[in-house]
Amino acid sequence: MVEQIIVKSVEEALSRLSERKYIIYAGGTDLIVQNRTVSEAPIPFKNPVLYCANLKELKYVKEGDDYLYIGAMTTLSELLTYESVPKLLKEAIEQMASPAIRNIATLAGNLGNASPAGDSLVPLYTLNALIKCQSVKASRLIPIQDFFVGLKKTALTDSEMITEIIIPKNRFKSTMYRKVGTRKADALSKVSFAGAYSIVHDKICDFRISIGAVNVTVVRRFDIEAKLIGKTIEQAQKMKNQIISLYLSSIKPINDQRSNIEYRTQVTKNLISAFMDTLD
Amino acid sequence: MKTVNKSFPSVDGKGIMMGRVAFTDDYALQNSLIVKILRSPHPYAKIKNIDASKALALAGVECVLTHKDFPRIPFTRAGQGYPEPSPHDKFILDEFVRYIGDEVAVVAATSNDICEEALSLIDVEYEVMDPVLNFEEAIDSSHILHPEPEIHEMFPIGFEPLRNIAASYHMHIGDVELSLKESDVVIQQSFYTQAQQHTALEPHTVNAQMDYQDRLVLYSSTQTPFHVRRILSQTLGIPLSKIRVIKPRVGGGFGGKQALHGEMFVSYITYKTKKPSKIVFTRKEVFESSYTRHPMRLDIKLGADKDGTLKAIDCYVLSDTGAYGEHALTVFMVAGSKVLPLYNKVDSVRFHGHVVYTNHTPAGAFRGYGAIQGNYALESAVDMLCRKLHMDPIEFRQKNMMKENETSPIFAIMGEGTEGTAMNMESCKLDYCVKRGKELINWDSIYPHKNVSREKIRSVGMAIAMQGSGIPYIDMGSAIIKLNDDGFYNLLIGATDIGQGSDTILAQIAAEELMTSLDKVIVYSSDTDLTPFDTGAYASSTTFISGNAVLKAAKKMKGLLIEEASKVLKCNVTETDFDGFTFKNTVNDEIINLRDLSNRLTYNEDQKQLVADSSYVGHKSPPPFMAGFIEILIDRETGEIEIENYVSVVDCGTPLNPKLAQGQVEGGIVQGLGMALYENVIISSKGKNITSDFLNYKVPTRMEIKKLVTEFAESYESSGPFGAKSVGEIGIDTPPAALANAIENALGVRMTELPMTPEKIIRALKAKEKRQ
Repeated sequence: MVEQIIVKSVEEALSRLSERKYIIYAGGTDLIVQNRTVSEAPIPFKNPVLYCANLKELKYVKEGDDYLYIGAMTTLSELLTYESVPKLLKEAIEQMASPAIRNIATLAGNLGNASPAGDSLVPLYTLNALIKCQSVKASRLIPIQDFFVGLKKTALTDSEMITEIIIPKNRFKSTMYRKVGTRKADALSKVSFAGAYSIVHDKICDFRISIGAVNVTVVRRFDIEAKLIGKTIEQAQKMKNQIISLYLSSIKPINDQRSNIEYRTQVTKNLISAFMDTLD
Repeated sequence: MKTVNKSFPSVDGKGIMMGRVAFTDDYALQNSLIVKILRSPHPYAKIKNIDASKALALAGVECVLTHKDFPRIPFTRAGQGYPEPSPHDKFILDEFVRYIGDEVAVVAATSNDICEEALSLIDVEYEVMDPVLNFEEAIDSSHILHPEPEIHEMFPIGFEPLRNIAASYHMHIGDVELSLKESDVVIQQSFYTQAQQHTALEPHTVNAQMDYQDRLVLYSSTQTPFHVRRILSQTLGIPLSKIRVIKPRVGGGFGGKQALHGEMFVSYITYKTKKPSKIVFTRKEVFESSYTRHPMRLDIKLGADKDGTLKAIDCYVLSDTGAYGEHALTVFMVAGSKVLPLYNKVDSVRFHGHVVYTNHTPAGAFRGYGAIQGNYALESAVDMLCRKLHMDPIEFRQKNMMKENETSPIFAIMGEGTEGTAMNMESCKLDYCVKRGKELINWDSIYPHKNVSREKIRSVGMAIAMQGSGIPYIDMGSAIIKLNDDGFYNLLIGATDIGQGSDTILAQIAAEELMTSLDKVIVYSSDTDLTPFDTGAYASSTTFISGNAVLKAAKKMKGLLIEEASKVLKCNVTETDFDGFTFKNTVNDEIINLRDLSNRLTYNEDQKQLVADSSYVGHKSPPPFMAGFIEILIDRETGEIEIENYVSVVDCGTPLNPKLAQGQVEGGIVQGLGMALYENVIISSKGKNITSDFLNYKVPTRMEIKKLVTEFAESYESSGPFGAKSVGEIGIDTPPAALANAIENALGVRMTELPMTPEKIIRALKAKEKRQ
């Protein structure tokens, strides 16, 4: 049996992390599934475990003038109760797993697990979320697209933990979230999509698309988005096919139990097209 | 009717909800040896050597069994009547393993952990062989699954193991080729159906102990306790009189527990060591090593005249039975016999095909039992034909389908593995079911579809179905009713409640006939020592077969009661009135109540135990009928389907307990929708099941279906108890075809392969775009 510690404070957690490598345990909904063996047996973790789920000081949602601050141990269900949490994120959370899972799972856990099909990541990409990674020595704010460095790999070092997720406040003209899964509950995504845009003086001033489960990390292309800035809706619609083919060049879907390349490609295409048709 | 046709809560529901000792594993002795099975990692291999010495040296290991420990007696685990229509092609353990998950060796040890460790210490040397993984290439493949000489069929079922054929069959009425040639319009299509899992909540579970008379006592989560007792005796050589099989409450069967799985191993171990033992399948074992539904390819040809008269049905079926031929012939035949008579006015019908061996997990009995596969193909083909005829699919069905008092020659020709039984449809309200369902789904305002938004389309589709009620001249049920002092009864039945509520229904039948209240009938079922024989819970037989036996026994008991009462009241039997509680001499109005009479018979005068028994074997199998209507919302961008509404209008004769009947229908609908939408056993190119858990094998949840509307037609089947027919399977038959028809009505693409996933829908749409 490996060492398992229930930490009492963030300070204690960080100090322990400075000493050795731990698995950081928030809701545990991924860790339990990944490490279980037979039913009723204790979970045989391979590394020491730091239980952080009951760190009260990391359970909060605070609203500032320009940003929303989400404590890392705030559960998904709790997030749904705050008016300040963006609609795009709420829509994604409402379709994640099942109520029981949402009652203990956290955004930080979803980020730390770094699955390409992690459902909360997609809206967080679109919302330009910042991930606060803290160690005993320092804390750094990492833009979400830099937080993920490869398949199931993050920029988090062994001495750091995620303490906060920071979301810039934004008033989009409209957003669109779509999760495509096998069934309505308890199903991993085949494709997920989060789009948002804003218009000023009849011209697009903000345009964002993030697509999940079609590459090793969520696909967000600032260069493609930039092509639409300053364009009228009519101009944008004319560029639709060009935009879609640019996105298709940056996805790399796979065949697995859930779906296949052909479907994921076609649906990505259809969802981008549908989103661009909503420009108004 | 006072007790039947009333929605009483099930007699066992509350106790189960309160967590009372009820299920098989609750009855396992604390000190039971844990039994686990070493399973094959290869789809096809010969075991060259098994070295169990390291496992045996482990403290706590009681024994390790291999094929050398068992006599070489071929048998079938199918759990059917004797002689079985399934080939005897299985040995308890064999030197060949034929699918990933097949049994190699068995360990009994004092704990789960020791058992697991022992499994890992067994060294097996395999000679890996080339498997047959594509069922369409199985016949006459150079890789033969069953070359062993001992295996055999029990009567002719077209068994040709050297050609990888487990069973084959051919029937025809009229000249199909000629009828097709003479038809104005002909359609031809192949349909594929997949392997589906039963996913009963309770895994396969069995435990054994020796009692103080040195008899083997088994608690088993089974649908067929009496077949289990017989097969154990036949394969292990234990005298039948030394075996007692008890079936406690069962957490779902759906056909998956008709067969024997762990029973042979715990019985052998306990009988040999005299120590109690138990096995509980892991979920992975249930997925990989129990049963699936038979995957099939169904090639259909239909011919009709321009006016919409269906003239010919031609159907070839290729069915995949996996590594062993359990239920091979019968499931295949039901794909014809409980589907084709729906259209009984055709000039000619042909039904033929083969059931082949492959190195897949064996297929076995599963709710619908071939009818769901056949229904999907035929009812899809009918809509395709209507499209070609430019005819409304409901009008076409109303013109061509079975009506009350009609028959089909197929009933006489096709039985389950043997010849069938001719019968007229004395109750068939299919006409009403179609008409009512059409109203309930609001067909006329939606058909074929309505555009809801840019990407969403609403559409409807429908299908009709039939099933059976037991197997005539084969399935037998029986009942014993015993009067107790104080005036209540024991009802002892062999029938097997597996959660469907048969204990409740059968008690209702007895209470109705005895004119008493349901709480006065104490029901005890499925114990081979204490209850009379019953074939078990399969083939939609319990309400009809066992129910008739209960009704007959109750009538007998009523006669005995009146006889005894008339002695007390000093009048003739014909002068004695009985209302369930009081007997009255109609000449002088003298009375005695049931309670006083039973106390008197028990303690005071003319003492005797009143017992009535009866049994019943069907002389026909009156089919329940239904019309299923689906309303869907389909997203043309993602191919996703939302089930907005499913309307079932069912003719099951009198629903003896409408609430339980509704549960049976709706459970079937949802399980059928699972098969239609996404349930799928995916086998890798190496023969491995890669969907062997609930993370990867999706079944519908409570969230999936917005609305289910279930109604029962007013119907009375005179051969059934209080007018009842069966209702356990019929619900599962219509969803695949109804959904496929709704998809075509929405998008103009025909889905010919189950499950109809968004992936396939998007592919079909792309192909359609290309054609245009």
